[in-house]
Amino acid sequence: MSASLRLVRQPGHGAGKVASDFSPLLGDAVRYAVDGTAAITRVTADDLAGHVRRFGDRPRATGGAGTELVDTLEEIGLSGRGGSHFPAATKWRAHLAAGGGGVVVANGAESEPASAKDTALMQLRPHLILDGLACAAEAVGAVDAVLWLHGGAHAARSSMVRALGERRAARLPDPAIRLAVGPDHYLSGESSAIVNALSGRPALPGFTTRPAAVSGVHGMPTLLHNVETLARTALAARTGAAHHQGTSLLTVADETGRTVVEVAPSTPLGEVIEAVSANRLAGGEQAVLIGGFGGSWLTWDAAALLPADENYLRAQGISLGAGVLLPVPDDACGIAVVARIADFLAASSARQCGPCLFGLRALADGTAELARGQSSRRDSRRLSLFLAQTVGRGACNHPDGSVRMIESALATFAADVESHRRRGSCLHPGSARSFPIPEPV
Amino acid sequence: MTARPSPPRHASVGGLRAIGLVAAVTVSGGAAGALIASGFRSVSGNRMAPWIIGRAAGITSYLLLVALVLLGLVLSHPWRTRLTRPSPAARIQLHIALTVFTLVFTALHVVVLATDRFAGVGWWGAALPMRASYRPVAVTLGVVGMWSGLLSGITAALAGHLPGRVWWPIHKVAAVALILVWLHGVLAGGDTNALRWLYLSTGLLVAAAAFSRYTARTPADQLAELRQ
Amino acid sequence: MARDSRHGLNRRLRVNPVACDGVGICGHLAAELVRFDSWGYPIVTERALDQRDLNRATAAVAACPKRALFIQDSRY
Repeated sequence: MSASLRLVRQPGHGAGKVASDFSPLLGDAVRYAVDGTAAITRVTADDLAGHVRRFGDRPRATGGAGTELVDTLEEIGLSGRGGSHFPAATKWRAHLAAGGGGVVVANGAESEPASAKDTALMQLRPHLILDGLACAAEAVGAVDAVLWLHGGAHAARSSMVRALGERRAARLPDPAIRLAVGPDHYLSGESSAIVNALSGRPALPGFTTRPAAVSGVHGMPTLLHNVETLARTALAARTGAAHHQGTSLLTVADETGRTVVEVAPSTPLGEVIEAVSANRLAGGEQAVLIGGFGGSWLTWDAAALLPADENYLRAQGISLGAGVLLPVPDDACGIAVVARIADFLAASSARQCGPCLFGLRALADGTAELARGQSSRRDSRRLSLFLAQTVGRGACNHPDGSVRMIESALATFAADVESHRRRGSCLHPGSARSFPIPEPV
Repeated sequence: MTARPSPPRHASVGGLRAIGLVAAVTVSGGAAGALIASGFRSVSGNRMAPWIIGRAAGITSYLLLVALVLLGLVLSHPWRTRLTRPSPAARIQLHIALTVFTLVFTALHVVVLATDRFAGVGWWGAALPMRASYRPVAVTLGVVGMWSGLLSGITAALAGHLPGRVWWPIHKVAAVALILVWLHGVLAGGDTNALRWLYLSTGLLVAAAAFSRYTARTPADQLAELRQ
Repeated sequence: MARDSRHGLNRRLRVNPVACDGVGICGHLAAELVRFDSWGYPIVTERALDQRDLNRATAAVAACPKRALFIQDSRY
């Protein structure tokens, strides 16, 4: 695929030791099928020698270098790429303020079915992730460094295991890193679920009043980052803030598969999607789901010109989240896609919190009625009530994401929602040409 | 960061008001019963009047208790989340209102029969086990059932002053008062076919509701399924 | 002191949704602070508690059989 070269704009400055100027993390786009973790395009993982050739040796992050690294992360505004986009430096500082030590975790449990960017990164750049984990462990003085993966993520796991072996064999000055494998269900990649699992409890989200960085695994400060966040940490440790390139890894998910690309912040989202999946279309796109299943729907016209820039999007009330772009073409029923996602999210509830267990089910039933054109005015009032009663009511953010997805859908597909309600018919009937929503694990 | 709350130093309005309400209802119910009973005696001169009033109050109180326990089972039933009306708050209010009425008619039942010289129960028989000359075992079941029901009601009225882990188990266990009261009804008052049918049908109804409540799939069961 | 403006200390009633089983006693004891959603689970007020609220909130916290309610001090 040459898509990524066209997508990534010329950066304003040189990139220091980093080999690739335009796509510091990924290189070319990587394609995956609609499910599974095995890439369709040929991917070759960097072995340790290749990794060092490409990026150089890992800088140490002990003592003053650690403090410097936190400053760098703050300066470049690195945010959590698992979806929250929480400022990384804030977590590190909270961890250090809580006394440091404790545990660092690299979260490679990519639960978003439409996303493949973490898998791509683990398959292509395992050493960069491990570099970031090692830097984080050194900077906060962690006593335990863990790589957390889904049990079913075989391709990513074998790549990471091989990389860990290479590093041990080469006797790199790394803190000891251990691999922990969790269940495959959607919420086992949620941070409090990981903290629970590593503390010997079931891998389910928990209710906490203190962040994991203050009190996490076994009550110790726990620094938990998505693998992409850590890979970017490893880059930042090498380049410093001055040569930083603020790219994003995005996954474009359509019915032909999932394509992972790396784009500069100035790239319009419409351009990203068209470069990857425009050829399949007769009539163009109708709308895009941005972020993930718990993300926001936007009409194509509203989304196409938005830049892939988290700070810009945040000001508009949108987030790149886990980097998913899920386009729905003009000849497909967007509300049907919304209903299937709502059902997936309801079935993926950890079933611990009443409002999530019953609220998401009620929301899924409500959107399914709407998709079938069997929703009365009373039903739509009930749907609004259930949305208001579900948001902010869980131990984790799972219900909030579901509410965001459905509320934004009602606004984005407003005309079609009205048509479903009044006439029981769809304004965009025809194909089912969009990313197939899987059955929940 | 989080404060574990200390118990309030001065008893708050809610608990005292509840106890006061229970006391007022008991006293006024009993007084009303005594008045009505003496009224009947003096006016009609019918010696059977207190006996009939006492038994009628007993059956009414039993039916109210059945409704009370049924509503309690609904309140805690895993399927309750599908029930939109009455609202959860109204359901609790109704549960409390039923308690008050049950208490009124129980008080009437006890006072009338305790003061009836021909009933063979007396104050001691109505308050303590095995002190009645009339069907002592049957009356004792009623007496124990009454105290057990009172325990359930009073602990619940004190919720907020008693910790949840104290009043909640007592509240649930003491609800078996209904079993004792049922036996009391069958043994002491099951002398006509109509009443036997009444006890059989209401008993089966409560048993079915209790079975459904304790075997229905709960959110915790769903969670356990996820963990497997 | 429920609200200490000098220190910006606020107390709020909070619910642990994992522990909560929707028993409903909180809504009875603190009706001004707790309402119920469509499934019978409590929605607690987000406002800072004043002294009157605090008595009711404390009763609701104590009465909860699931120990799902608590009062949180926060500085904002």
